[in-house]
Amino acid sequence: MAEQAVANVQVVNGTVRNRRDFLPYMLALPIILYETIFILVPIVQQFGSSFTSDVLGIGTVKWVGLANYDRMLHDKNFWNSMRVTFMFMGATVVLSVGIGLLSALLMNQRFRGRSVARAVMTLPWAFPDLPTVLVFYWILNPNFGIVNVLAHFLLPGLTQNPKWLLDINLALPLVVAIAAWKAFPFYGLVTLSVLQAIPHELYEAARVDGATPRQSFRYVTLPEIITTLMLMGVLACIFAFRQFALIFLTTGGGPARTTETLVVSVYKAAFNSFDFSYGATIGVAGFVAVFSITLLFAYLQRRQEAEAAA
Amino acid sequence: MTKKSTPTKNNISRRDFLKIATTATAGTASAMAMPKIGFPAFIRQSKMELNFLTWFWTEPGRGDAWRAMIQKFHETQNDIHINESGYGENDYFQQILIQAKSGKIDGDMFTETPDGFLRLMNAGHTISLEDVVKKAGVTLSQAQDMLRKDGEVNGLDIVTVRFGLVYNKAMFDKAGVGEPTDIDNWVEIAKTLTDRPNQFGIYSPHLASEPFTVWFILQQWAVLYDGVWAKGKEPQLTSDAVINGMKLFKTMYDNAMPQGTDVGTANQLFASSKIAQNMVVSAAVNQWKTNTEDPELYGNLRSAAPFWPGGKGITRIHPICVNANTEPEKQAAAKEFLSWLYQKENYQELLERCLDVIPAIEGGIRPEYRETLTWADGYDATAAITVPEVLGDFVLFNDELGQVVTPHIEEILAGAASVEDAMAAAQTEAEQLAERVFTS
Amino acid sequence: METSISVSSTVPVARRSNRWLRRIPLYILVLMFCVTTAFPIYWMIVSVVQPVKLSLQYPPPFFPQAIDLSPFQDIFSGKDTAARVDVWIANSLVLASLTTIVCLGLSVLGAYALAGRRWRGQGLFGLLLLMTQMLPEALIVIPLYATIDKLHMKDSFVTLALVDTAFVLPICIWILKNVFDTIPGEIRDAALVDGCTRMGMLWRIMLPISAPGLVAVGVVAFFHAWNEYLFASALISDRKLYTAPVGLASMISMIDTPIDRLLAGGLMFSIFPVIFYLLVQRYIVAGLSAGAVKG
Repeated sequence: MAEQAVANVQVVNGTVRNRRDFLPYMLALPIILYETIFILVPIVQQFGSSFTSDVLGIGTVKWVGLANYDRMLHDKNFWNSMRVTFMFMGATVVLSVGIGLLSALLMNQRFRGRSVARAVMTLPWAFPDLPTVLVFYWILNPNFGIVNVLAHFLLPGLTQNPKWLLDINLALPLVVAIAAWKAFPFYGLVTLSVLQAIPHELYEAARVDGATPRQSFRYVTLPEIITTLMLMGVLACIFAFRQFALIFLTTGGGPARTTETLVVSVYKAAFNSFDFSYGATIGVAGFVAVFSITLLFAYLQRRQEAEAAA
Repeated sequence: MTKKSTPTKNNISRRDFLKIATTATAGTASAMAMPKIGFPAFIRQSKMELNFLTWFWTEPGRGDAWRAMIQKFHETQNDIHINESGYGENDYFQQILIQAKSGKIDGDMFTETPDGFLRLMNAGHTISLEDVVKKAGVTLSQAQDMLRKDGEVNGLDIVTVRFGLVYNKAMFDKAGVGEPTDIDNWVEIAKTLTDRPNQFGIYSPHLASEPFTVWFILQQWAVLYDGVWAKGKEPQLTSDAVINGMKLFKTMYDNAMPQGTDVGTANQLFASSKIAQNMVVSAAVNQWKTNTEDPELYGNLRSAAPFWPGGKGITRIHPICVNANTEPEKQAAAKEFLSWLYQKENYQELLERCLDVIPAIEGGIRPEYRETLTWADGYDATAAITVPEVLGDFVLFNDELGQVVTPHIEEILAGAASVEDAMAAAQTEAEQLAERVFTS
Repeated sequence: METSISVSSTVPVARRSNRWLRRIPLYILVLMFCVTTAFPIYWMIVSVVQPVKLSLQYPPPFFPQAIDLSPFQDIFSGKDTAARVDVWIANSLVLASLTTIVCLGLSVLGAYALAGRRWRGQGLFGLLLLMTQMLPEALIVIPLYATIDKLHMKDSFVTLALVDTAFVLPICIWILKNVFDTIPGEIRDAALVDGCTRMGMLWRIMLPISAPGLVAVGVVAFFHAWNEYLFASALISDRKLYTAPVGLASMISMIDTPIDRLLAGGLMFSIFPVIFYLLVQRYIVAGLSAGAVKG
């Protein structure tokens, strides 16, 4: 026992690599098996079907090679979804992580009622998707929605109520706003937890050196949280990519496909057009796209870390 | 339901049921099924449990009507017990699809839309119900011919709906207008009835988040100009009738509709006399009977006599089917229930409880009942046009065609494209769809 | 803390009030932030408690003009028990609790594997976890349904909890890994030198220290299962077992949506996670201390 403990201490110190250390593998194995059963096996099955023609009630399933991919590359609706996906992802990530950061900076200040403000600010995180959609529908109704009151107040020249979710130019920004409203508290809380871990002496030292608040943010806060922000950027990208319920329930991908992300396309192809093969094909494309982005992020993060270390 | 059997209960159905079961299971299946089913009732304590998969349970009015009928069926016999199963209407078709896709629909009986039915029938999920019709001793209406495969009926219509224009007579009277005489007159009436944001002349669904409902009702707008959406394998999206229909839709949308309002909210507005007209199916009227907002509303409802060219309304048949992939004894029990349900008196009762107007069998509606429906004259006067007639071969690809059309309609409504341009683009996409689905 | 006290005790009164003035923008900013985030929730409550027809006018009243709680009565007292919001919420509570438990157990294993010393294949393991997060559920639901149907495991909250866990597990592992990383190496070393096995150390030392992290993970898992719709609707067909999202979606039927009841149901549906969140809220920031130690 004691011998083993010594061996482990050495491992912890990182000087010796214990080649007989199976513990991490034993721990990881159940997780790998679990994810394999529930996600990887089904997804491989489904990806396989992108090389077949599998439309319910029409003929039999047969091998079609790359026909679905050929169709996809010539499908302007697919390229539209690709564009919408990246616009949605980009805007949602910037907005939700940005507002998250802002809220964290606010919550990190010392002021009266801070704990109440913190609870209120992060409440949307606890608010479920379906009620969120219901209430935003209510708020954004072009005839009766309260948002019209605000619009007329801010833009006195407005003669008619905007059409909000029915407007081709407004639908995507509104969906982004709703998604960000729902998502920012999580990023805010994570950032806050990091902010609170920054040693107070660092700020004190910066103040003694005569740093302005902006400078102390730039040179003290930012370096401490940048890694977390990058990580959250990756997560936010993935979550935004997978965002389905909010978009689908709010706009159904419309009007005129202006909010139809890849995930919505996948769903529509599979469940509204019963074309499982084509749905899977779009799914493969989406997966490849988001996977590349994640790798890019991971690369950038590595480089950033290396720079920080140097 | 009741555990004790009362002497008044009719127990002969048990024997009939066994007889049918035996016939049904003849062949290879019989070896498996017979021993199970051969036990006398007193040994086989448990009842035959049937799962009835439908969206009716969540539909106000219709759900209660079906519960009452099933309760009645349970009282007439002791062998079969029917359980409620299913999803809300929005979810239902997708769920059935996932199930069908995985091999077997998860219910012994299920209901479907006309187009969904055709798809499932082609995929082999239904069985012939000819013996049920024979046993019930009824004659099916002509419209049910679309439910046949090799001449045998594979589904029994349990609700036929037809499109028409329902209006609130009190609001018409107040505005001093009568029933429309032609389409131009109709547009004028709708404008007269509109006073935004307090009152709206008409509602028709138009939100991208409700694509099925939009497409479902949009189809009728082309029929208002006596048009069809496809002939055989050829889409007709740029035909005069479709173009005119969409222009009319746009005119009404611009001038008389509560824009951006979902179906649920619109129903609420209609119920509180803030919307004067609704282009809906006859089955929708049922929901306003139980309306608590305005008890007068139901009495004020009328359907307009057809004033549009051709005077046709899309007529949709919703069949109940027996699952081809369930156990033979359950199929037999399901047929037993359907034979009971399709007996003329029971069918009439179902129709009345559901407040339906279009019977699926000859003599399916009692004249005494029909006279009580003050709102049904317009629906009756409207000529039927079936879904296969309106959609041609696209009836098998109804939702796909809808997905091609509705984004372009959204474009039109948002003012981002002219009706002609948008429909021309839709036509191109529909032709591509045809090429893909009809040649494979 | 100490410094700020000493600073404030030495400032003259005039400068102190000056400091208050300078804080006004902060208060305004906080207030604006709170109003913006809380408004939709406030608006939902207003729309629910007043009769719907009052909300359907323009401009809509900012404060409820009348109170009508009958929709609540309707959603809790229907004859049809399968269509009652309280039944759905009870089902959702069962599901979310099960998911939380399964997820906590597995994420402790996964996080412990990732935290601390490096091992061959660790990066690959992390990548695998990240990858599972990139797959749209819509692609997985069909094959998964087919398998679960074959195994006769439908209509079960256990099955659904297992499926929900698969989707939320990676993020939970990520959170917990970062929490484990913040535990100073000396504490672990000390425990090991004292003769703890490494699993014993996990159980007796690391988990108690990481309690807030476990709370955070629990909340994430709970919210996920509470919200999940696609799998719940596919894998539950028995109406008595509907979870709240599936039940509420079933209320949105094609020709009739009782909009007031839908809103009331939506509000009840939101209350549980909101209360749960408010109760554990103060632990969460400590629990989410991701990145406090870099990496």
